[in-house]
Amino acid sequence: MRFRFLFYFVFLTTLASAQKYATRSGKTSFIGSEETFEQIKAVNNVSTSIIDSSSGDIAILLFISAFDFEISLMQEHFNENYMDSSKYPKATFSGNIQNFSFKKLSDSQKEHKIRGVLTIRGIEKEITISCHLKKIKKGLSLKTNFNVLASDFEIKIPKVVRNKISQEINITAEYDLIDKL
Amino acid sequence: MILLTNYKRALLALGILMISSWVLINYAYKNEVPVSEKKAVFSGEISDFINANIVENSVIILKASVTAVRDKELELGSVISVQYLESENQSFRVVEKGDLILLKGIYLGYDDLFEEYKLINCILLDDE
Repeated sequence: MRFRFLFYFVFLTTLASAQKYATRSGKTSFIGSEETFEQIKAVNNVSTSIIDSSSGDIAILLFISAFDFEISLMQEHFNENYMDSSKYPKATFSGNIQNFSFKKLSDSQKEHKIRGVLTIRGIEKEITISCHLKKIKKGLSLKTNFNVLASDFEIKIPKVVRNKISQEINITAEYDLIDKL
Repeated sequence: MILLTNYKRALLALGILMISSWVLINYAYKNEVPVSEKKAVFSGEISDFINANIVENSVIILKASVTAVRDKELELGSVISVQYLESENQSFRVVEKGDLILLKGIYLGYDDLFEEYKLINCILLDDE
């Protein structure tokens, strides 16, 4: 937790003098179920993210309760029973895009690695993920798809629904970041 | 006679099963209440909103002037980010920087990255 606030402080201070790209309407979605009749999936269209183009530092913040499910009862259970979103309202990621150079980005996607700390339910976990970056009008586009384990963030899945809810959660993020808004 | 009684029992059991399934399905698939029909826990201006210490995920009504208009979002008083549903595009399209507006939406929380309060699913209200 302390690391996260320290990161924000350093990140925001550094950003004050650097070229930055940002979005307030990033799309983050997840699939958290086996192939069942009603798939457990949701999308958050209001994720925020900032990239410092000089260092490749990236920060992402999203509100758990902004995940939108097709079935409202599922959303209720997700927030109250699994994510405890009133106690842990945000999930964050702070890290660095390895070997990032904005000048070298082009219109075609290029794979990069991102190393950083993912924080869900107040629990920090170091992860390394792959992402695809490309240049877009006034900024860059970032796409990534990776898996996390529910148990890494102490998300308890009751035995009764263990065959419906997957232990491995698949997360997809699609952000179009433009010149600091 | 016994056959008829069994038949009636089976029919009754089937009826109960069908009714409970219907109730369960309706409960599970109930539509989310739209923001327009939800009760607001706060109604006022930005300064009152900031000092009010409102719980996240509450519905609020806010009267404020627009300080920026961006793609599918507005900024109020330079400290609040307002996002709205696609279905509200039409009504928000006419909003311009400097306008004083009255809106209802869900207060998500404070965004540490942008250092602003975040409102989503907002709708415009008539200010009369």
